[in-house]
Amino acid sequence: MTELLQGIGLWLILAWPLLVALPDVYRHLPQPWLLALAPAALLLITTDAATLDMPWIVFGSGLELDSGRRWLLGMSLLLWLAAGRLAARLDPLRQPATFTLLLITFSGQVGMILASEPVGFLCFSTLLGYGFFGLLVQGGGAGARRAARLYIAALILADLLLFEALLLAAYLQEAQRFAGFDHRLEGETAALYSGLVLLAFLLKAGIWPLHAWVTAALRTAAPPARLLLMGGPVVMALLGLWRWLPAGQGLEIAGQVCRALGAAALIYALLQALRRPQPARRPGWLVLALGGALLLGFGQVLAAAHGWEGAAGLVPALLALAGLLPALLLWRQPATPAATLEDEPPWTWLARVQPRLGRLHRRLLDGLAHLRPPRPLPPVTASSLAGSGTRVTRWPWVIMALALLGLVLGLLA
Amino acid sequence: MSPGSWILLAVLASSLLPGLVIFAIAERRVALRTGLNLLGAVSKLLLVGWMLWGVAHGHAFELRLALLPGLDFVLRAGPLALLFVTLSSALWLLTTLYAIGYLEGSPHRSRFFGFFSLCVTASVGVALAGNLLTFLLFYELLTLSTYPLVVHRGTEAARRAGQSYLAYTLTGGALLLAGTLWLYSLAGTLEFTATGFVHGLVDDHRGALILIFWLLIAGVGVKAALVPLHGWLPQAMVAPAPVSALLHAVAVVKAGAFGIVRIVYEVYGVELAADLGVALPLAALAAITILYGSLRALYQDDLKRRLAFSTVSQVSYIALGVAIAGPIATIGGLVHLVHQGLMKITLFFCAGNLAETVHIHRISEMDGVGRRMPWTMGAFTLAAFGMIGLPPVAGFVSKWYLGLGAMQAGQDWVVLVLAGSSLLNAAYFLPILHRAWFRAPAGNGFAPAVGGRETGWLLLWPPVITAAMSLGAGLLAFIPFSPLEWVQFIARQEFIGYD
Repeated sequence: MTELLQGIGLWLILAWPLLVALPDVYRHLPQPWLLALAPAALLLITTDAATLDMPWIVFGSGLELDSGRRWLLGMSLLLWLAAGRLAARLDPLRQPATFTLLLITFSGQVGMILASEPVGFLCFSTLLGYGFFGLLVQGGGAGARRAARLYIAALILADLLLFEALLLAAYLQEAQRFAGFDHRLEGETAALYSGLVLLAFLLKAGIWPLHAWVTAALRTAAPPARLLLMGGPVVMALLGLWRWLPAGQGLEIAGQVCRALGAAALIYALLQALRRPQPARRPGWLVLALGGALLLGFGQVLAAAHGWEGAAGLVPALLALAGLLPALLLWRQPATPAATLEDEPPWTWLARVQPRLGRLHRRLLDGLAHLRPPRPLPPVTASSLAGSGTRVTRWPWVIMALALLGLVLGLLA
Repeated sequence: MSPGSWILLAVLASSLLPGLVIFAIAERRVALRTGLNLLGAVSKLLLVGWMLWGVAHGHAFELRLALLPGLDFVLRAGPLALLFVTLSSALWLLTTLYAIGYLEGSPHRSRFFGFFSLCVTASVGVALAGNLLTFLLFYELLTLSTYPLVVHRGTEAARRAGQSYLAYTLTGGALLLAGTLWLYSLAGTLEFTATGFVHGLVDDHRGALILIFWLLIAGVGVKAALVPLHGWLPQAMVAPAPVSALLHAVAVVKAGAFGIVRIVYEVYGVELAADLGVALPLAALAAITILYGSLRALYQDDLKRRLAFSTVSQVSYIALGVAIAGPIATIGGLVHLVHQGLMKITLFFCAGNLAETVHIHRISEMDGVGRRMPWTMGAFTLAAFGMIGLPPVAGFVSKWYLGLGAMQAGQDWVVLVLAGSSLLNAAYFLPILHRAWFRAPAGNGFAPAVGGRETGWLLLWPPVITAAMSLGAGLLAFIPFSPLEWVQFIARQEFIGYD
């Protein structure tokens, strides 16, 4: 009986917010926002662990609540409660659509947390992703729309990559259904699978250098979307990495890539925070730094063959904490108008750095010139110039002949 | 006649008889016409349900009438036939409801519904045909009964579209006839069998079999809108929305795709098709059609034309799955026959609602329409997500099995085609959704809803139901009698050893 109730509870916390998201239902409920989140809160308080197998859903799905997932569920509840408060302060014309999108994203988020197999995770990830796209666009400004466009492009690509990764894994394991699906693959296939999954979730999480939509959204989106950004799409994408990649299997290359990108993201965020310390930009740097730090740690676990199990229990708690930190910073910060902060694609730093590098190079050369006194040039005499013109005019013919020779040899080969 | 024979005739008669009576009904007798339409549609659905139950439990339904010396008129309800019959019957009921609402007050309704019923009779006949001759008869009847529906509006554009439709489909029919006659002259039979009936000819008539294959494929490829035989489909978009739904989801295009399935599996057999070297070129042609249709769809501002090019692309998934030749890919192709029907009919119903209620025909006019018609655009959104292949909508399941089947058959390039197609689908569907949901309406906005409803019930419920079915077909893919479960049942029969 208790199991049945827990199963119904797990279903309810996903389906109920979607039902309340319908504007006709939402309008007719007292305190709809609190009512929508109530089943999740109730389950969090009353249940330590619960599982629900649904072999008839998609390719065989399941939901599971355990101690790690409870951290993430708690974080999500706090974030969405706060986002609801912020949404209530919006222009009344924008409120209904914002509440609908917030509830859709909540259902997606909780589904991702509870999903016990990859296809279910992907389904809810789609719900969260497209709902969050809507939340970004609801911000209204040109900057927010641009961030949303970048995000949707990343999302579509990421979903395709995940689809390919799942196909690969299912083909190799001769599985059409995912109940009891095993991520552990071997050899080159493991590298391909890891690469696809890694790239997909990095796109979804907006980790450096794919972070353009994250920083743009944190500056220009509506307050509820900004508040949810880290705890929602970014943390859930990192959770996806954790769930989809086999930790502790000694995936050296994937681990190194994660560590390198994580470290680079951290350094980039720190440097940017020093260079552009405006309050409006701080959440962006914080999110990038947190994402980088988590990726760095994950890379360590991914490459490890032993001894990572102790850290496994910490991962959900760390993710939950990372989701809440930027939200604290953003709670009372107004969105900056798009006009005052131009969005920058991640590669513009090259254009800025190039002249500085040029100046540095010149200074370096000057310095070197001072270190060693210049030698006097050999004197130009009539004998040294004799015949040089003929030698120079011969060079094009030599080059042409060599090219022709190469072409002939190439054709013969 | 056995009870099994009577039920096959009854299934055909359930739409044929009401159709013939409706022709004679005066225009003003709306209640009688509506009653006959619904009686026919509901009774057909019940009969099909009975046959489904019977076939699932091992019963055989066959009707054989002597037509010519050595050639019979054969109707047979196997699992494959019932897949198409069930789809047509279920969607016919919803399309009839929708058409009743859509054509309310317009002229020539008796003519419209008469041909509408004939059209469904023909498509059910195509599905139940037990040999190539019966298939050909119903296939041509389908062409002739659809033409008056395409030109129903009577405008110059409609007449031009009708001429183009006839030119393409009659040419296709002629090619199909030529192929059928040639094949009969070689094989002496046209009877569909589970593994094909031309195996014995391969040693002596290899070249002829290859030529006949392409004649037959060209014949059915016209209706399946394979590139370069697709030109009639975008032009036929001038027809009313219920006709578009019928063309794209219930009858015509599906009959073409179903013809490809019959030819590859039950005329040639999968293994022989691969041995003759015709399967891979067919797969390549399907892949080209998938990408070409999607690319053309990108540049259409007319909503129905964009959907038409989308059909060109999506229907070829069926041909692709069949041509890849393996149990998993077959499941992907056949299940897409149903899934594409559900999703595409939703899109056309929604396009019809937009045209009928707020007079929107172009995508550039759709700004903010989601606020005015949330249920219609909600259904549209769900179907569009399915077309892109987003989980858990039905299109995801089709693409999953196609991709997996391609890998199983060693045709990895198909996975790239699927990925490219998904990207293109996203590129031409998502901007529509963005406009509808997130842009402000132009000018003074749309005319307000009358009585608090976005449109009439008869226009609203069919797309909402088919959108829910699209979601259900993906979400509940493994429940008994789901399209996927039924297709797996077919695959177990076509591929010995598959389980």
